[in-house]
Amino acid sequence: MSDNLKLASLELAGLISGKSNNHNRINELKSILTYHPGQPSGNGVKDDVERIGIYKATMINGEKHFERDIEAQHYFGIWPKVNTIPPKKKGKHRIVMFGESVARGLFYEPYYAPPVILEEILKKCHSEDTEVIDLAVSSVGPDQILDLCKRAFGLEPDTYVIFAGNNWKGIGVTEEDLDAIMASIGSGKINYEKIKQILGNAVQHFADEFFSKLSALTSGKKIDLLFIIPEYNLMDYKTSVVQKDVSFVDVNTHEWLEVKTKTEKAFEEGDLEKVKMLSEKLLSLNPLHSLAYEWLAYCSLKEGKNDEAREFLEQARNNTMFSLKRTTPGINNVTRKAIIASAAKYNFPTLCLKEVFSEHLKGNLPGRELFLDYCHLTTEGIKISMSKAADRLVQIWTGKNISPEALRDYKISADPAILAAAHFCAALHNAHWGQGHEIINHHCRQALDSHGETIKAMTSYLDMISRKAPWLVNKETHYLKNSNFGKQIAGGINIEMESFKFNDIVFVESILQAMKEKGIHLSEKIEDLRQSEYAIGTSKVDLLQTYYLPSTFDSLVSFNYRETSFYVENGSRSNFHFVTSDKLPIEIDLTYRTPNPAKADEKIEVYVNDDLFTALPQEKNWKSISLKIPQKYFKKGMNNLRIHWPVPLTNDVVHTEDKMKDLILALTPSWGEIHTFYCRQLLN
Amino acid sequence: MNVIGISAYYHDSACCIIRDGELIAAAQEERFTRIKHDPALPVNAFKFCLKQADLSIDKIDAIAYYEDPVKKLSRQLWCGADYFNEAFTHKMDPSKPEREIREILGFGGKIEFVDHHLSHAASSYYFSGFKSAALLTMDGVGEWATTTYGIAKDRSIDLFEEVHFPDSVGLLYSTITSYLGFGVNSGEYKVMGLAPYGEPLYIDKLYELIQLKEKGQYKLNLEYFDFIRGNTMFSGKLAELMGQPVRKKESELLKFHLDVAKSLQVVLEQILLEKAKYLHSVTGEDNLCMAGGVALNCVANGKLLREGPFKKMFVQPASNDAGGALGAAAHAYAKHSGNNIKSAPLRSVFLGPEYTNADIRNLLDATSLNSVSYETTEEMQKATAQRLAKGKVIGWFQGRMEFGPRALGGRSILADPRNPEMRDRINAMVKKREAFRPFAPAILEDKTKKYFDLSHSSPFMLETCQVVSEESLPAITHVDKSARVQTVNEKDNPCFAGLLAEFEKLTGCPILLNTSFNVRGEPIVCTPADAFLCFVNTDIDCLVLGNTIIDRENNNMEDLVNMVKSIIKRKKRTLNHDVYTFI
Repeated sequence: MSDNLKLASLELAGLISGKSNNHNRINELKSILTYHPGQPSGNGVKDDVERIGIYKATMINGEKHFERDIEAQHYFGIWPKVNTIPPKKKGKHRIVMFGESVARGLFYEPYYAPPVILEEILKKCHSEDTEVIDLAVSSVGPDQILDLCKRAFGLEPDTYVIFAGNNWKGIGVTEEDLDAIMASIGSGKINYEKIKQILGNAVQHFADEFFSKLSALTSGKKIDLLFIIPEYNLMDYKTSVVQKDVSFVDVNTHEWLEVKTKTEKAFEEGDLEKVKMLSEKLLSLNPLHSLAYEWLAYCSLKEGKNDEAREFLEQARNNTMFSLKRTTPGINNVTRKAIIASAAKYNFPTLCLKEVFSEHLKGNLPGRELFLDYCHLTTEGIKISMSKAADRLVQIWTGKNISPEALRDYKISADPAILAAAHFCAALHNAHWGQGHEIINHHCRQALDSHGETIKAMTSYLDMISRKAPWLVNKETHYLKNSNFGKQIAGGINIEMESFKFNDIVFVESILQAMKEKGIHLSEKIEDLRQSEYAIGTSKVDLLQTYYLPSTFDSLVSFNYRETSFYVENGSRSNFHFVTSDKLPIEIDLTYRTPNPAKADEKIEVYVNDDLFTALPQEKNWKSISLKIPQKYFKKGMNNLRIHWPVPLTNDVVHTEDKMKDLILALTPSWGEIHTFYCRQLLN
Repeated sequence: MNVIGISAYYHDSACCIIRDGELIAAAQEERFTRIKHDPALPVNAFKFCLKQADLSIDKIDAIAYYEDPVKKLSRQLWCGADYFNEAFTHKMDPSKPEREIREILGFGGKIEFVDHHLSHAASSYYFSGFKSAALLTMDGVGEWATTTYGIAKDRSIDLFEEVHFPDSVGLLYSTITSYLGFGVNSGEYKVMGLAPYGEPLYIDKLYELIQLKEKGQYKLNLEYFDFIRGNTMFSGKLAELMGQPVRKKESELLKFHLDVAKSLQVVLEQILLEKAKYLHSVTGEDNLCMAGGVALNCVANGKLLREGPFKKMFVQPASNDAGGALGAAAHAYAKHSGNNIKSAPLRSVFLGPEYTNADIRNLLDATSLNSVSYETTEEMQKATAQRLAKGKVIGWFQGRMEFGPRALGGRSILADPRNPEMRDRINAMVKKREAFRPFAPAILEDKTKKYFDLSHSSPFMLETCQVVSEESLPAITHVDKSARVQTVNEKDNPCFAGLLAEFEKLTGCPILLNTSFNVRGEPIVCTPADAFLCFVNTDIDCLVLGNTIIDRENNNMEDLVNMVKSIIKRKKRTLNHDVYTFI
């Protein structure tokens, strides 16, 4: 090795690590070090196999089939359960349907997926020679749909149907947009209008680009196209547990929290006038939060003002697009309008389910008769949407409509066991996305009413969720995996998440309640199981393990967002749950800090089961303390320990190469952090 | 004073903790994440170490990191990496270790960067128990150094000579490993195991690849290598020189491959012996401390001790990069406290997590399997020994997990070494690996001389010796009559020693075949659940978890096996083993 080269590399490494601005010298050293011939050739292996997602082209008897590639089996769960896509037969009219989980018919798939139903309707009402190829994929984004559209030419399609829009949150945001948003949050006061405008423009721009690319892609291909725009379950709309907290931190946050507390009280007391007044105040403090709109919608519905309620609920949905925390997927009005405008610009026909459902419901708001959860459709929702889609397609192909009578006659004869499993899956999905008890209970009851097998599925789930053992080794998992529940759940839970244990309190309580109503009493058994598996004993238990953290999936995902080895709270409250007896006091070892200071006199409040236990000082650096909590604070079974953090005064504005991360840190700063959180019983 | 040691971002990331001079805990991140050789910042191992030491982050005085990122970057730049290309920037960012230690681990205190080979040297010397010693470290590459020579005395280490990248004995070994169709950073053991089947017919050719120079130096002939910037370890010229094409992975092993493996082993031993003689002549020390990946070549270690100039030798049991965490922490502790490491000489590497019988009971209650729980450890040992004597293969999960690549009776697969079919059976049906690979014996320490040509204890399975047993031990005797012995005593490894004693009572043989509790391509098991899944996914006859035994023959496991196999297959994640990732 040449010593000169080594010296040059050492000097360059020193300049880089010292973030030197001496660009001349850096360039000089770089040129010295480029003596090696050639560049690394890279590990990329050229893939010359024709693929469409998980499918790869295979020649069988001289004909091209697309078969599921075993190498892609990790992704099978989010794709249709179809092994082979055969070559198109002569005389067939082939529709390829792309879309997201709604298009997959989540929780009914593989039995009543929209592509299956669309094919049935078209065969019955139009022509037996129509077939629909299902290429809907859970969680797919718009760019992936475009890619699939390109690859699917290999299927010899006559028509494309794209059923999408639920996964378009955050699309089209450029680095320049992020810079502009960052600039709008300076001096501690967020410019909400500016953010709204930037993100709104980004969505419109993205939609334009999407349809422009789609137009270029399909140009000259003689492929008809229909874009179906989904709708949202407005009647059951609930701001999730995570979303209910502060969204962005600025000078108004303190007041926003105070008004929110007052509104919650007024809501509990049924004082709707006060709720309305306070909600307006909340919106003046933070117009991009959903909660106030949800409350206003509730008031409007109570007053029978459906149109006003729709507007408020759509505003609430719109505001989820501004959230940096995890939100339920789903269309909003901004995206819907952008899609309609852009599709029209490029002459693509659209079918807007908002209009379809509104017409079907005669102006009433869509709810659980059409939706299983926030956006996934019931069999009724699938039937209505696909009937209308079939009608539009026939109109596109022939200029004529299907006879209304024929469409009216079409029925999905649903198997009760499949319906039961779908309701159970919907209950679980609603629970894991922080939705209210009422909708979860509704689906639990529906599941039990639909089919007797639900009792076994629910009992198995309770066992599986209440034990520490990885789901994979649990004997109940085997039953669940092979039941309708296991087959239809795709995407809802993942039994392969061996180490990801959480308490699932809301869902477990809903199941127990629904079972109890049927005369099945399992509460005691589950309590015993929790005590045996998770109870705080005399050995230290780490309350930062996922089991003891908040009970909803979205909360847990939010917790993991920053990928730290310690707990970072980017909201005002931290909730922990643990199982104990009420027999002995408990000692807690806590190492915490509040890196972003609040007002000097504000304290960190620790509540045990809603009783204030102690208030701790803010600490800039890690501080370890030991708390001895008398047994009178505890109850036998599940207990809650809640920490109220004071509002950080400053936005932690940093500028790194990762602009999105900078923005997240600035808008959702850390309120408090916990490094150690051990809990154990004291033997008096 | 409390110090945490970390190695990360290359392969085998790990974390350890020294509390007031005592090594309390150490673990590799792969055991928690289940990604073999996981290079990520060892977040899980870090949390485990703090908990095990009963310390919170504010009680940690320093974090010692096992290499110097700026020096490392200079070597990467020399290799031709385009730092200014965005794709590389994140990977090579020299501020990444400090930034992530601050941001991800939340540590605000002192971070000490200890050179890679100094970490290796310290990991051996500070835990050797020697007052003074000569130091020899050898691996693929650290920052620039690939081999270092040094001397240590009274807590002070002086590495007085280095061989620099790209000249590297470790990379020579890895290159031939890759040429023979095995993975870099994972297949070197296989080549060592293959060597005794061959003849040293290619020594001359291999010396075309490396030229020994004066003092501690040597030079690689880079015409035959392509690891600096290529996607393979070797250039096209290597195959020309050797007269045979590169062996395809999993293809048939020919006599040629065996002969090359043997030749490589001989060349390595010759280089080690010559350089050890040089080191001895310079330092005049009787004790030798070794570390670095090359020090895991137990065959060479044994030869070095038998034929070399040093009277005593200590090889750090986790000599690979994982052990760098240990050395960095020990170095920082000794430097700042002025005290010795209390855990020296290192007597045990049971430094990982442990689980209670209640944890195990809860796990098994969730499953559909029948099991037997014993009141006492002695009863469990007897019952296990009976099964071993009947020819059963046992998955053995006891106490704390080992640190380093060897299973030493905490997370082991055990069998009767006298059974002539056992080696093939375990290789094929249990470990799912190549048929030629040998297994190691564990023996009660006071019985060693009767069975092996070994005059001292070997608790970490780091050297080989000849089998001198009158009784045939086919399952653990390699083709050249050698064995990689682990000696076990009651004081340091009581549960395993108890089992060996029970087995001896039943059979008259105080030896068991001992191999790591994992299957090919997966890390050694860490938790009872990992052990359970490994048991389900292999042909192990009995699983012993603490005081509980599960017998495969007493259970219908078909459904469970099918589900676990399908899911494990889908989850498999691996790293690139075609080339060292220098950039």
